[in-house]
Amino acid sequence: MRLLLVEDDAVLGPRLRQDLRRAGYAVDLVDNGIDGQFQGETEAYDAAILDLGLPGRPGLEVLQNWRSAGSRLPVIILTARDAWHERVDGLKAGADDYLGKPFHQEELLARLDALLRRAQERAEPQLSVAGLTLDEERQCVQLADGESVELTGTEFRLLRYMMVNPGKLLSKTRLTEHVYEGDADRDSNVIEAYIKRLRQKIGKQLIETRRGQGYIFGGDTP
Amino acid sequence: MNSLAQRLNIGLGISLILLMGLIGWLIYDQNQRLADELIVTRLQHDGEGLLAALQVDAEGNATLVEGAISAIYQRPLSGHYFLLQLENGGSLRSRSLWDAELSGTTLVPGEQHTRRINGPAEQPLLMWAGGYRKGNHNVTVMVAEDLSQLQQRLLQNALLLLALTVGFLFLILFIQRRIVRDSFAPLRQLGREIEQLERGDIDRLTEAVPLEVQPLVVEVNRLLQVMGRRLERSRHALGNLAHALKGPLNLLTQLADDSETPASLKQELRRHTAALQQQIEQQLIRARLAGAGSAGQRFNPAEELPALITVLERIYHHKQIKFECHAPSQNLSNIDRHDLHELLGNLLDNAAKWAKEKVRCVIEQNEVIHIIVEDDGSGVTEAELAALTERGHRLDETRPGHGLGLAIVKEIVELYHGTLELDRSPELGGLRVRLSLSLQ
Repeated sequence: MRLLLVEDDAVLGPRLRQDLRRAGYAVDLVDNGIDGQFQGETEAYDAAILDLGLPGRPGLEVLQNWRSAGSRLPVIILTARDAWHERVDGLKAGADDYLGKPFHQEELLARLDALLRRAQERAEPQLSVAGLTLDEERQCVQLADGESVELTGTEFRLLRYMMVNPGKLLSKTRLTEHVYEGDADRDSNVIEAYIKRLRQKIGKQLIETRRGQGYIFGGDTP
Repeated sequence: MNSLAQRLNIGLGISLILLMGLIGWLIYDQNQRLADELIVTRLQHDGEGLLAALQVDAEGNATLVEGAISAIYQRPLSGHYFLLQLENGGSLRSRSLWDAELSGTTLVPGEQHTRRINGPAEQPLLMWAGGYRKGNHNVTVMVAEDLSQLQQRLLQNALLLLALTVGFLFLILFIQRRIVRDSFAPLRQLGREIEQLERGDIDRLTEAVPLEVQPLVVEVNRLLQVMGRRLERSRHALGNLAHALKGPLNLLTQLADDSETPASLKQELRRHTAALQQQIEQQLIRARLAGAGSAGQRFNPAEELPALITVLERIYHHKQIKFECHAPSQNLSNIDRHDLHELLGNLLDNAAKWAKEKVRCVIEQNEVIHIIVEDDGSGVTEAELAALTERGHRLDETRPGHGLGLAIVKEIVELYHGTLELDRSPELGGLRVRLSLSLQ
């Protein structure tokens, strides 16, 4: 899961990015509205966390521009402007959720989780596909036989993205886009290496290779 | 009486009555004079004719030449009379006088006069008399004519004139009423626009109005704009202040959540940041409230409520709360959109916080706005009810939220001179908040 974080506060921004990374997300941090809008338009994100009082371009305008361009990117507004009418206006402008500052980190993570689940049309809190159950808090996976396997950060992000999109053909580019941050070294060979390591941990048959096209997780067995 | 239309009608009525009365009287008077002059001229001619026909013999007996007198003077009480009086005491009178007399004084030659007298059979007469000298005799000629027929005609004319005048008066007043009504049509339109303004359907008045009321309308528009801008500016400034204060506060909160922060410090940090936050929220919200009679935007329940409920559903995403709302579909009059959002937001937030699965909300508007919000939570005891609306009072310290909700609600209700009642919901079992907002 790759997130766009648009926050101009020089202390809060990096801090939030760190918290979100720790929670298993790839995070791109942008500190102004113009870059924020551009990133949201050009990169493949799974959700965006948007401040309203941004230099360059107000957050609400960035959101409206995304929406009028047809983007359905799930967006949480994170702002000190949290009067009720401001929340309503934020939602009317196309936000999916609105969180007032100051907030607790767990609250943000819970809302983010709920937002992503809504976007994936998934009702149950636990991500469970093809016999695997992902423990998002501890960032490990439970196999069908009950054995719990530890995952590294990238492995976790890769597996989660594949489990969220079971049965779909996922190209290496798409996987790279959703697993790595924008400034990371994007070598598709690295994805191959991680797939190989994942197969060792969760079993070969769960990730099918389509030569020249990409991978399919879980096959036909959900 | 303070109706402009009525004042105009009465003013016009009085001036018309005065004017027409004056004209009527002038016409009547002139007619009378003209008639009198014509009659006097005729009487004079007759008198001169009589004088020419007068013969006085050597003994001083007066006679009139046979056939010189008009037949009208022969018929008894015909209305035409004469009397010739000589200075020697002899006199000649018309046969028409019958047994009556024309009373008159003897005049010296060259003297003339005209006057009204009472003649035979109660006839009002106009009499002309003149003194002449014929031969060696001084003669006074008196000729009179009955005026009753003429006076009757004059009276008839006057009555006809009066009838026409009254008719015209009513016609003119009727036309005036229509003119006034047409001229006041823009004012009625203005009244309707002001109602729309109160509902917030429009944000300024149309300035295409008659010249006389235009300055008023322009001024109202200017005031609306000034007030709206002032409110907008102060709200914007408050938003900036909130932004500036909450940034550092947010960092402190994050610091308290940080796993690397020592547990003892965490406690302290949490307590102080919570107190700070409560103060900031409270003061910011209070400062943001517009109050009754504000010029801001209006609240349209059909448009705003679903969005507000979505906000709440996101906040309470871990619960499946069903919001059931009944509200009018048009704008609510006389209440600021932001204020009502703050009010409903806090009420519904509070209800959702305590509800198991259902929150009900009813909004009605007649002369006042009634709002009922109830939930199916565990409810509250009497003692808790009393303490509940005190500022910052929290029933349950463990649940999220800052406990300001109902205190803010109370403040808004006071701002709108309303009433607030808390009790147990008879149907749902939880807390029921009933409030009314006066709009004047």
